[in-house]
Amino acid sequence: MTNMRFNKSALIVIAAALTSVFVSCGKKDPLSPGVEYMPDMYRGPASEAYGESSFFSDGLASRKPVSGSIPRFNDETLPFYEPYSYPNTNEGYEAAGLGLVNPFATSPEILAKGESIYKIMCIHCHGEKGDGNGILVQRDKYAGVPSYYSAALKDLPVGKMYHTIYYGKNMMGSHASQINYAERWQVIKWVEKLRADGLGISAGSDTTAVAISDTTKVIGAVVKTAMK
Amino acid sequence: MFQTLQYMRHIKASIQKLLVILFTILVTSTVSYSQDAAKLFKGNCASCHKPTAAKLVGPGLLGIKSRWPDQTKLIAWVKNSTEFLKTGDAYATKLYNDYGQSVMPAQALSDAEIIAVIDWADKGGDAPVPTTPTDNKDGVVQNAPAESNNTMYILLGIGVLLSVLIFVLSTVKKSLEALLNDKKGIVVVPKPERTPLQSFRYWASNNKKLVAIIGLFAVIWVLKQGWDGLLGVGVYTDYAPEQPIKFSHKLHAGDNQIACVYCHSGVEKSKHANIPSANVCMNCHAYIQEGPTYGKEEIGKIYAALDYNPETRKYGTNQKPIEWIRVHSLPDHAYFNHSQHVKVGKIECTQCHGPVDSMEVVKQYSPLTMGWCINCHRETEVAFKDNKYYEDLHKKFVNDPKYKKGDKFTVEKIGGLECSKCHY
Repeated sequence: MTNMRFNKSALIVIAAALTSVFVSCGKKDPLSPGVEYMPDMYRGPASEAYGESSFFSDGLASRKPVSGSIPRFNDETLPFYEPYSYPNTNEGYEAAGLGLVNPFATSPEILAKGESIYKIMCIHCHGEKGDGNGILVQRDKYAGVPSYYSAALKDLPVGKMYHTIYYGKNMMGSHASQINYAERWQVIKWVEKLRADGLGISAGSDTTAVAISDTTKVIGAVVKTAMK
Repeated sequence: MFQTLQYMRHIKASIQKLLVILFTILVTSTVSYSQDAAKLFKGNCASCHKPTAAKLVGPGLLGIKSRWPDQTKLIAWVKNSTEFLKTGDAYATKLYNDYGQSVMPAQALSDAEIIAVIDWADKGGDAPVPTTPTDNKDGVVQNAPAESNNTMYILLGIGVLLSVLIFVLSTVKKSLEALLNDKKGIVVVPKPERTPLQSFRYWASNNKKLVAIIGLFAVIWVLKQGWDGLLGVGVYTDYAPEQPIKFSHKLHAGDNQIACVYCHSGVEKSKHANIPSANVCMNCHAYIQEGPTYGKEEIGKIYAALDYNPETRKYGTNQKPIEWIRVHSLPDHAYFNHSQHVKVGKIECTQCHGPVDSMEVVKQYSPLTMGWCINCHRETEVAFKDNKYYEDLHKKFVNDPKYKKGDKFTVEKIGGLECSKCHY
């Protein structure tokens, strides 16, 4: 009799213990960061990036640079930073095509940089080979991304590419906030290489490009001043 | 006379031949082109037009024939819009001005191809596949966070069921015993009445060893819980707050394979891996107006924040920031720089942030405690290879006789454990 009673009671105790273990082992609430000791140390009064601030009328702690300020960056491969002065119009697009020249010469390092930027910024729409068949097109999220070697784009000058990256074109948005001046020109080097590969032209027709760009630079400058 | 007849026959034959050729051309062309109309549309037109009434860069093409009664004009317009504009056509000029003077690029298509595409698009294209909010073709798990709770409830339920079973069976057993005793004529001496507490004490005094063991475990368990609880103070691991927009990293970074740096483009240049501003969302979502999981609801919140009207494709002035909730937060007295780790240290995002590309709701993967930082600084070797940033330092160490070739060179050795590296 005692033996039986022991079994039953033990069972109840063990069941209770197990239940409490299960309950307490349940994961902590994902919506709460948990217990904080001295929260002042975590959330100081200083403004944090992307935080709120009652100091400014728009409530944001992050401020925009003063309009007209020119970014400086530590890239000794670049001669200077040039503010972009072509307007976001059809005339600006044409003028950019005539007036802009890539400040970088083709080199393996620049191509490697361009490739890595391309694989982050462009590949999901334009595809690995620039044929306009990126993963988003394959998955039917996006349609009508042109191939770099299509009739419309096979002769596109670099200036128009830059203009397109800067302002966006048709359904492509502006990528100026994501890649800076140097990166835009680096990725254009890679786009040119993809296009040359796709068209079956050997890349390295750089000398002609420079020869053309010397004359177009003059024309571009004329157009630019005319627009002002 | 005979000559004329022969001449007539000759003409007849050539006309027949011509007709046959023309017919074959017509048949083959219409067949192949109408089959390819959808493909042609996708390849040449879809980046700016939809086959429905919806506007993109240009107007939707549904019912285009009624707007362009003269087909030759429409073909000329598609083939070279800039040239056609010069003819001063009123409707074309109106279109050009209505759609922000964006030039439709000249399309290198044949007349038959253009007609095929127009016929196809005029009727609204292929019947569009409706994408309802419940459309779950991307295999998005919607209730992922609730799963752990469910397991707990199931276990609790099983526990309750089992206890009920025990109670019922013991009652049955008791009454059966009573019945048996009654039959055998055994008179059972009734047990002394005890309160539950008294009966527990009675049982405990009879089973001292067992009580001692259970007690010991209970004490250890309580201590362990307390210890873990204290260690968890200020550690936010697994913190996964609900965000104002149900943005799915699994869908964007996982299924659609968009690189982390596409949106967090500051990670290699700045202390912060920036939260993308809404213009980055709009790079895709000006086109993609409906998501596979929540339809227009969540993407609509981006439009609301930007005061953007997807119908007119215009931005208003009443723009508000999206109030994302911060997941990873280091205390003010600890300095951390993303570019130092990602660009210079060449650490992968996933090493600290975990498999974000499979997270429906982003959670904090690493504890971000000081011990965790220090541990990594002790174990990680400095990425000297092809690293301009460490060029001078590398030379110095190579020339130092203290170090041999092939020595493990961790972050600790270049001062990665100095207090003032992170606390200043």
